[in-house]
Amino acid sequence: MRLRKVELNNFRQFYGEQRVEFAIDPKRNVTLIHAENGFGKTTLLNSVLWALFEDITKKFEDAEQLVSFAALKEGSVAAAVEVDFDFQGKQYVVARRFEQPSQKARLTASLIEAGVHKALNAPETFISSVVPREMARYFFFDGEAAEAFSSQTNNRAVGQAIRAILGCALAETAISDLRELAKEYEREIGTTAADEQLEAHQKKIVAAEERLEKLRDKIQDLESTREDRARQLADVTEKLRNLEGARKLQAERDAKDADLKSVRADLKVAKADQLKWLGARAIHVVSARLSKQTLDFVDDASLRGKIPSPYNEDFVRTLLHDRICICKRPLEAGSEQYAAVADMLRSASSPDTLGKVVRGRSRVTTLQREAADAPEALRVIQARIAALTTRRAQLEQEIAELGTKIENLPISEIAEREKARAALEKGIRKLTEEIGGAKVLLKNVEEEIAELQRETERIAKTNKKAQRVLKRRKLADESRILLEAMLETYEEEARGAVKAKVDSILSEVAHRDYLCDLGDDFALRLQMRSGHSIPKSGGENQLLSLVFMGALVQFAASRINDKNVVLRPGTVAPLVLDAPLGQLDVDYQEAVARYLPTLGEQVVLLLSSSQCPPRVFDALEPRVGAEYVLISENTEARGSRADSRMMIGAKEYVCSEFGRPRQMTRIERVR
Amino acid sequence: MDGNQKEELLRKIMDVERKFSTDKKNAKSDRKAELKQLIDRFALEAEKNAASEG
Repeated sequence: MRLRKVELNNFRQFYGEQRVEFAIDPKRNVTLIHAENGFGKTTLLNSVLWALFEDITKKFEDAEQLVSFAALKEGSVAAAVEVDFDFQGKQYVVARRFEQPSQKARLTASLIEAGVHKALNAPETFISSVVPREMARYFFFDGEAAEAFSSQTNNRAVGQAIRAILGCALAETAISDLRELAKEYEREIGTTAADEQLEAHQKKIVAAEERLEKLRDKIQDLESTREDRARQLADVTEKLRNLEGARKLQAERDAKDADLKSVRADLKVAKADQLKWLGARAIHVVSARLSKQTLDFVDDASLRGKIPSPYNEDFVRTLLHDRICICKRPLEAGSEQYAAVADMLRSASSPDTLGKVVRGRSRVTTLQREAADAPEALRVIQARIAALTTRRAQLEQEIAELGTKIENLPISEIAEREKARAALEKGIRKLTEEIGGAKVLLKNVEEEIAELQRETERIAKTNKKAQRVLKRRKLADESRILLEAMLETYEEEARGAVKAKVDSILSEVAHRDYLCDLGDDFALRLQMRSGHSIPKSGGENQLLSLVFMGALVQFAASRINDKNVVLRPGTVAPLVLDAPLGQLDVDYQEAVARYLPTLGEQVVLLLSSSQCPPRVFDALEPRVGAEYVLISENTEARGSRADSRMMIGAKEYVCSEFGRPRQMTRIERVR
Repeated sequence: MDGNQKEELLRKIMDVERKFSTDKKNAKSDRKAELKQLIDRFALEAEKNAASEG
């Protein structure tokens, strides 16, 4: 999809008919829109989302107020947005119109051929085939997602984003449907079978499943609250970083926090090593005495010529077959001599038994050697755990002391923020404990249900009607499990692909040798190539979020021809970024600005003057194909207000006009 | 049911989901009813096959 034009009609502050024509030249693929805060950048971004999906981002305030106030005053009650775009070599226009007091907006979509508009019958279906709704929010980016990606507990947001771009939405709905369907069959088993025992069992299962559902909801709520708290914590910490009095102490705390994170990760690895030791090597220690006895026995038997046996199996069989003893006397079947020679077969050696003796001896020798080494290996692991535990306690203590120092600084704002920070941290810890507890309960209920289901199957064995329903329930369950397993595999692959793309973009834009750490749990972090995690500053958070967004867009493009049965294919859509350079320092702003045009086939940037200093503008300029500025028109007199001016290239624009006939924002083309 | 049949069922399930996702109403109850019909049909077929083999 390539945007050609968006036309706004009395939409929010954009009074009358106004438009933006986007850059469509691949060499100059950037559309640059300058606007100061509050002038309509977010509205402009949301206008496209609204037209396509009747959707808006969280930052779009007073969402129900769509019609321009100025237009309403003049008696107009309708607002509309029209989006012209190219898709697969054809030109389309989608229009959404809202008219007060109606609650619904009307959507139309047309194909434009030789200047003639041909209406499409199912506009929603068509739009969904161009950009699936669940992917759209990652192309129209207003900074909201950036906050979610950069928070300490970002794994849910990151996981959701990867799943959305991977096109898992349909499969996820199917999983949910199949789960509910299995429950329906579950309820049917008892009633269909007319068996009291089965019915009682089914009631227990249904009750347990309800508890399970409640627990799942609870965990989801708790995780969502924890994410909110983590975002607030990141916000407070960032403010502390920027407060003059607390800056040094906060930087020290950031460094120690990063150390603590590394130590915790190392400790996790060491504890896992200890478990591995228990699984693989504890047996050597336990079996040390037995190994010694076995080896002594084998050696003793060998010494006495019992192992291997002095008689060879083939030789004894030949004697029995030829019926002649080694002393040349005949061996009559059934005779005492024959029985004595036949008895030698029990202890006769064969190549096989010889091999077994050699292998057995070698294994027991290895066991003995391992038994000698194993305690030392354990001692090394335990010493590592002890050292890391001490270091962790030390760091926790130092971090707590730094917290107290910050709280005791003689500046009330700092003290208040530190108190808020401590409270948030405490809250997050409590939430983490609650989540852990709920997950244990969840596992217990799952086991309870599995046990009840096994019991049901046992009872239902003699009931044909119950068997019939049971088979259907199993089929629904098996299909769901298969789908879940497939999604898990695809997600794993996607995680690897996105990580590789993030690393590749970081190598282009980051000043330091950063890599991304995208863990199994989808937690996204920056780390040094050496593996050390680094304390994230606001700028680095934003850089990581931006790079991640870029990687998602590239990943979506790489999947455009995906024919997977359960996944939706990827898409190519314009990347629309509202205030993407906010907290970056000017060096980073410049590096990112150079890279942004390469992130998508078409890039739309909405920047305030603070985000577009001359160095950023110069970096972007060679790729800019269209440029606009949003001018705020105000009815009131200017009074003592300062002019809002903006330098764009060599020309200065006055961005706020006063004493105008209407309160509105005007879109003015720069080039 | 063998692996091929299970894969076929999965494909059909996804077809149902895909069909409803482009439906403006996309009523959950209708979608689930259609999935149930699908599972019934596959289960019935498996039962018939098992009966003819056994």
